Amino acid sequence: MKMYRLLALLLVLFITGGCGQSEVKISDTRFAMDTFIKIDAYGTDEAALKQATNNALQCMQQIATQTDRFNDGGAGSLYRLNKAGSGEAFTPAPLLAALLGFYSAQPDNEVDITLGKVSDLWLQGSKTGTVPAEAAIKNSLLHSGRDKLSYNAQSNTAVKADAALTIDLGAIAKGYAVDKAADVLQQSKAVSAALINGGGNIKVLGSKADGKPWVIAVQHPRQSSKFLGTVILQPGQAAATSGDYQRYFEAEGKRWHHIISPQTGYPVNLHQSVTVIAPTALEADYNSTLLFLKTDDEIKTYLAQRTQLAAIVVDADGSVWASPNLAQLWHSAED
Amino acid sequence: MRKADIILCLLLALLAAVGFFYKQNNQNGTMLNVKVNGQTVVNKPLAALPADLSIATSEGTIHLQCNANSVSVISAPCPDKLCQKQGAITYAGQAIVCVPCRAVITLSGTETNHDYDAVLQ
Repeated sequence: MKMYRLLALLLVLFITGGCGQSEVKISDTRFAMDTFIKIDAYGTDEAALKQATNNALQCMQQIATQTDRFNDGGAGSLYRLNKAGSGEAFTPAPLLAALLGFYSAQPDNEVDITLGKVSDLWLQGSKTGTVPAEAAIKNSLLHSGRDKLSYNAQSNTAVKADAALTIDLGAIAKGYAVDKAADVLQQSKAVSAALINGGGNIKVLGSKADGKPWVIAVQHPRQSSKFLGTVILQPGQAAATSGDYQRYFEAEGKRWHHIISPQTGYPVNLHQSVTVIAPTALEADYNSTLLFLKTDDEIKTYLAQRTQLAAIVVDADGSVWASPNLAQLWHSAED
Repeated sequence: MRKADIILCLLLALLAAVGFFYKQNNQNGTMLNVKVNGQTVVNKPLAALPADLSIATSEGTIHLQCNANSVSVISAPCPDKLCQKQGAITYAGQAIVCVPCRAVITLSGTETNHDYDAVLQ
């Protein structure tokens, strides 16, 4: 008779969730870096998880402050660097210094963080719905160019060759912030797994309790209610998307988005979106912008030399392709 | 005793079944969650909401259009209108964010009705 009771009890326990200390999920959010950031952290100690996510978001806020070009973030901040005179030796704050160090080590000419003056014109244009005058763009281009900014990592000194040079870290700051937040979460023993999602940048940490892989759905660039498909990320990997479909305006019958060619000062229309998977969020962020500015052939050549990177590309005509190393990991919604 | 045991077993099984189906039913349907400045102002099934939903923010009113399984921003007081340009969202985990208004409009559903952890937007 007791066996029946035991079996019944086991049945109830089985259905209502099993035994042992259950894993909890903590989600915390913040507005920072002109976007919305969400962290999901998994573990068993709820209070410690809350502390860890809060610390991670605070870290991101610090990066936001140091890399904000519109508001004064204090000594060593990007705002102050943009105000610095020509030839003036500027000492960037540590988080800004790390970003300048990363950028100055990149050989690519397509991603240019000194296009702030040109970006300002397009930002103003998006508010008024008008395309900036060609002469204004040409004039702003005169005050940009990566050759006008030098950064010496050993002495931690940044020097502008043009006082009007305006640096905009929009192509890399969010990715870096996601990586730093991940570092903070990893320092907490309470976090067994986590997902950081901020402004088109995602990074995953650890393995989920259910043993399933991390699956990220990628937004369709033209149909907001659809996905392009899903991609599997390994623990520690990051993904970022650059596209023409969020920050844009329409004028003169065309779409004018925010990813600008440093050569022409105008948006580049080779692709609708480029998603990059990389070992770090900073690399994913940087490379999604870089590849957005490259042709399909250039992207394929570039990726062939960098097997740690993978990409999902939506061309200007809407055709979708993924790099060969995503064969088992990318599942198109069309399939 | 045997009869009592069987009744007990049946009762427990019934309880478990009721609990299980209650949980399932509670998870069905897409939920709309709207937060302004971190405070939840709407958290209801989409189906239970009016087609036109006004959300008050410090910047002005955001007007949402709610359908059975999608939501979109039809007007917003922000200067960039990024939230409006985004169009309708349908899937759990998708979000429309209006940074100037500090508003986050999210759809959620069951953990099992979608097989992804996040949406890269």
